[in-house]
Amino acid sequence: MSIIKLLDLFNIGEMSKEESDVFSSRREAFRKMGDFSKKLSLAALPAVVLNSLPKVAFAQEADVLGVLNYALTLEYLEASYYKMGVEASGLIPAEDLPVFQQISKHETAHVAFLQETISALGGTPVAEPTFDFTAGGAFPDPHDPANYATFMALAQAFEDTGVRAYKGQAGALMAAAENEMMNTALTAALSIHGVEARHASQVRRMRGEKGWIVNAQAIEGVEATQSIYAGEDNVTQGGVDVTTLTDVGMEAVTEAYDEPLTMEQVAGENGIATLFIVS
Amino acid sequence: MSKIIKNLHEIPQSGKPINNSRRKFLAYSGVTLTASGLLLFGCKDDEDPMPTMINAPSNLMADNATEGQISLSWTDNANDEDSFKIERSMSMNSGFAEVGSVNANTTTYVDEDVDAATEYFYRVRASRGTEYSTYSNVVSTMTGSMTVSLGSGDVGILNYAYALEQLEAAFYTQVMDGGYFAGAPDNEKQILSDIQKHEVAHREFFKAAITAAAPDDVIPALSVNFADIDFDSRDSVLGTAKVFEDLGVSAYNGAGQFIQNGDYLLIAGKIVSVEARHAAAIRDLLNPKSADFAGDDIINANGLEITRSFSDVLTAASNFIATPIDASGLPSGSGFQVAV
Repeated sequence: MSIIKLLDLFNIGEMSKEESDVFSSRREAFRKMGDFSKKLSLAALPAVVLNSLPKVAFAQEADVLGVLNYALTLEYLEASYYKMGVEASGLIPAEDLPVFQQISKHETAHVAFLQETISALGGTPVAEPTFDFTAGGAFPDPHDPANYATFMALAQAFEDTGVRAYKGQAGALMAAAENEMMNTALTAALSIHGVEARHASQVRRMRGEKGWIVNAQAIEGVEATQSIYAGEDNVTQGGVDVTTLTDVGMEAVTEAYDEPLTMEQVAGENGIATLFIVS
Repeated sequence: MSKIIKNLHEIPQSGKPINNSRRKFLAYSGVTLTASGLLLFGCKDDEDPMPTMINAPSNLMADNATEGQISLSWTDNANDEDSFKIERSMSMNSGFAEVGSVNANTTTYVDEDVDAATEYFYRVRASRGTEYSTYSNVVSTMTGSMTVSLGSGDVGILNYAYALEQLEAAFYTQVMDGGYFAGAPDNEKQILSDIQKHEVAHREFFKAAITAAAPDDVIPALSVNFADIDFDSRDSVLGTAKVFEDLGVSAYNGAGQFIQNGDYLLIAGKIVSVEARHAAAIRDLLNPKSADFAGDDIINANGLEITRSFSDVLTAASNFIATPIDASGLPSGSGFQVAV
């Protein structure tokens, strides 16, 4: 199914005057939390504090909730993938296990964090979809001990997709980032996004690739992953062709900037993640 | 008149000595020669006493206490000057050119057209019309490192990023000239030289972007201080790289919430994930195939990587950036920051 359709459920119309007033009082409540919330994640806020906040969604929060549920869906996919991976007997060699255990730990934590954040913002976390990591038979079962190479390749695919997918939502999160809570969501998303990039770098290098994306090079032998790297060969940033500014060369310039993917590219009808979602 | 000639004879001249017959000619023709070799006309023995040569100023001193300027002061020994001419050079013995002039009886001058961390030489002479005294003593002074202001708003944040990219690019460029790099295995060379190129591509982008958006506000090239880094040592180079990459990631992640323009935020996002890729690679070189590439020291139980406020980042970076940075225009407050 298309995640985007699911996310439409979160589109809530313009705020009424009454909702606007309630929102204002809510924003005031967040402001009063002030320094208290500064060093804490949303999830770490005591339930009593969260429950004391007026629970009215408004248009911008709806956008944020949509983005966070989109992120949650991708995290479900990764968390499930690695949990099955580290538990699959004989799949991951002992020397590689610490890396995948660490990645698995992070993806599981991301799921929990996003669920709690969505709830804290007054939304409802989407349920975990059912996944098919062979994408309907397009890939050999990556959790079969005989297919470790496939497991590694798809891990790279998911991590690089995650980096690009979060990046594609930066604008939507920023547009909403007019109060402390929304700034928190933006910062958390940025932070998770960087963690995914660390994962991607590590998995790529373990596969003998560079840690960074060169041109729009897809994963060798996994043609279905081509769309993951579409547009990564861009060299124009802020309207400036960066290759004209330095002599580091075009390849290095493409490596130096990761590019975004839209929600449609990732979770649309033929989206990258959609391939792996059964229902 | 004769007295003047006598004095003249005593003054060291770089030209040919004036012989007696020439002196006599000068005296008879009513022309006199000043200390600086200029000819004066119309002097006659029966007129009022000749204007004496202008006494040179002395005791020239230079003060660099105020940032961005050099203050000069001297003793006025002349009573008939109409101005003092101030000359400056980049070296002790040559290249002096006039940079300013002050009125008679003024004994100070402030040179504001100076670069940071630069040594200048000054000398002063008194003048009256086209006549000059000899020069004062030459004095030299070094300007301090001028404070660079990042500015405010998005430009301030872009300058902040530009400063960090300058630091990283300078570091990796120096790494590639060091002993460790020269003897490093190929895979490590590849990683470090790739990163160097990326950081240069980031630096040059920010320079161009800020210059286009706010040409008057782009910060200059900063001076770096790598005195504590041993570029011949793998541990020192990779350890510093780890600090810089982790710092860069946390800086972008902490600053994102303050960026107003969505295009800038997206570009920051495009860069921060590459910095995170660097950080993971460097950490893996230091401790291969461990959990350190995304270690618990920087990623908390929620799976969030730590972020840092402007002031925390600049404090850490100041160990490596010699140029003082004024970040007072950046958004106040640290916002929401993730801690471990």
